[in-house]
Amino acid sequence: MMALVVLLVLSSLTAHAGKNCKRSLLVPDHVKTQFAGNMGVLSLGLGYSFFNGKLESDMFYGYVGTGQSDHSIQHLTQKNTFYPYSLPVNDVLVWKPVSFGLSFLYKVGDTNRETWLFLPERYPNSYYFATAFHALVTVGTSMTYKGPGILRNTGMYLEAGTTALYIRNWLSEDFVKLSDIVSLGIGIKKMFN
Amino acid sequence: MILCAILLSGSGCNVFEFSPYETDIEGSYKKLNETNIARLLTVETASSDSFTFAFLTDSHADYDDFLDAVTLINGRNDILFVLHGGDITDFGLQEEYKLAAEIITRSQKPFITAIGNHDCLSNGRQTFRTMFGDSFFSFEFPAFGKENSYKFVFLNDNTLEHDMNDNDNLKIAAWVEEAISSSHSHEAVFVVAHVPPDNTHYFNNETEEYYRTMLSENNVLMSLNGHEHKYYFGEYYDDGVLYLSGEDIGDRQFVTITVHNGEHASVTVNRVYY
Repeated sequence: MMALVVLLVLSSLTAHAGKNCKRSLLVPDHVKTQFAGNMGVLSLGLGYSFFNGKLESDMFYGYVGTGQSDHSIQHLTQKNTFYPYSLPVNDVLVWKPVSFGLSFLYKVGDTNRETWLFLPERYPNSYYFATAFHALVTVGTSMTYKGPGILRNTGMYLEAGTTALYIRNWLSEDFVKLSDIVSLGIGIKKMFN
Repeated sequence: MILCAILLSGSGCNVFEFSPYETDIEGSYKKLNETNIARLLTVETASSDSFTFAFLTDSHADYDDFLDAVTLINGRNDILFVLHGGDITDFGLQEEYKLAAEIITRSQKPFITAIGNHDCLSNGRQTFRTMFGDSFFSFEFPAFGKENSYKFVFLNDNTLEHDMNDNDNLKIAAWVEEAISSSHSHEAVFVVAHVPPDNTHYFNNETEEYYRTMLSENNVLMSLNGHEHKYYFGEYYDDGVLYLSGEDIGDRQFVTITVHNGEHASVTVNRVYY
């Protein structure tokens, strides 16, 4: 339900931005929808593009329903993706063969389930590291359509990722295999101009 | 495309992960403690003099050390079963639980696990319930063909993580008392709980005294604990109850406990370094 509301707000924003020729610096450059990738079953994000598209910085809201977990989970994720190379495939397609991402995942609410950003008072000082926060690391690839029509400036991306915690475990333990910790995320990006 | 992805993820190969905090467990890791207790009850004590089990604890993310211990124990014919004192994860996450469960299921001996304070984090209590079962449970191990069996009581005494008030503490105490009150009809009782009762973050003077008294008045031979990552073995309160705290598996050691058949139950503790 929350996801639907966010989607509606985002789509109205998109339509609005399309009508304005001069966009404020504060208006986001793109909207993204992502499936999986540790940020929710589905997540929706708004973001900015920097350095001629080499860096994208987004804020996502993601949701996991009770079908996938015993309780619903809400995530806010600040995602940063670096695209070092951009290769035109033909007149209408641009391929960014590799991307590197670093995201900060936050689990909203539910402190009674022992997920908190700041240690509750009942614990001794520095007893635990924050449990509602995880750093996510991704490697991916993306393709953007630059041709005419309504799909102009629409892109798709595919990423393989995991959490920093699992990378630590993978590096220190032979028992932990990459296949244990890496999973995929797929997303669509629509640029506003 | 998304439909395809959902179908793929349903195949159980974890191509897609939705959140590190997911708690649904697919696959074979369900109620591990129950199935292992059922296995244990079919184990026969070869000797009429004694039986031996292993106690290890606090494996956290030390998967290699944990697996080495399980492999070593698999090769030891004298060890009948294994007890884990809790903290099989660092953050209580499903992925960590799965890795630990994978090692536990490689144990050829029945393997029974207590819940640790770290296992309660990130909604890990729910994952423990799905994967291992209730965090309060007990079972009876019949040995030497005696009429009375040896009773093992597992407790969840991670009171800080449960944000318990005095009333909750009393509820736990009532359960424990019920679980061990019939213990006079047992040869001996072993209590396995992650946090030892002298830990001041988890017990105050009153609850420590209550816990200690309850153990000493109910034929408890031995209390097996973890949490401190520090070895201790002795009659801590001079009240007849033996307290054992295990080193963490990351220090590549565990203990074996041999229970001797006799008019009064007695134990020998051996430290195993590997």
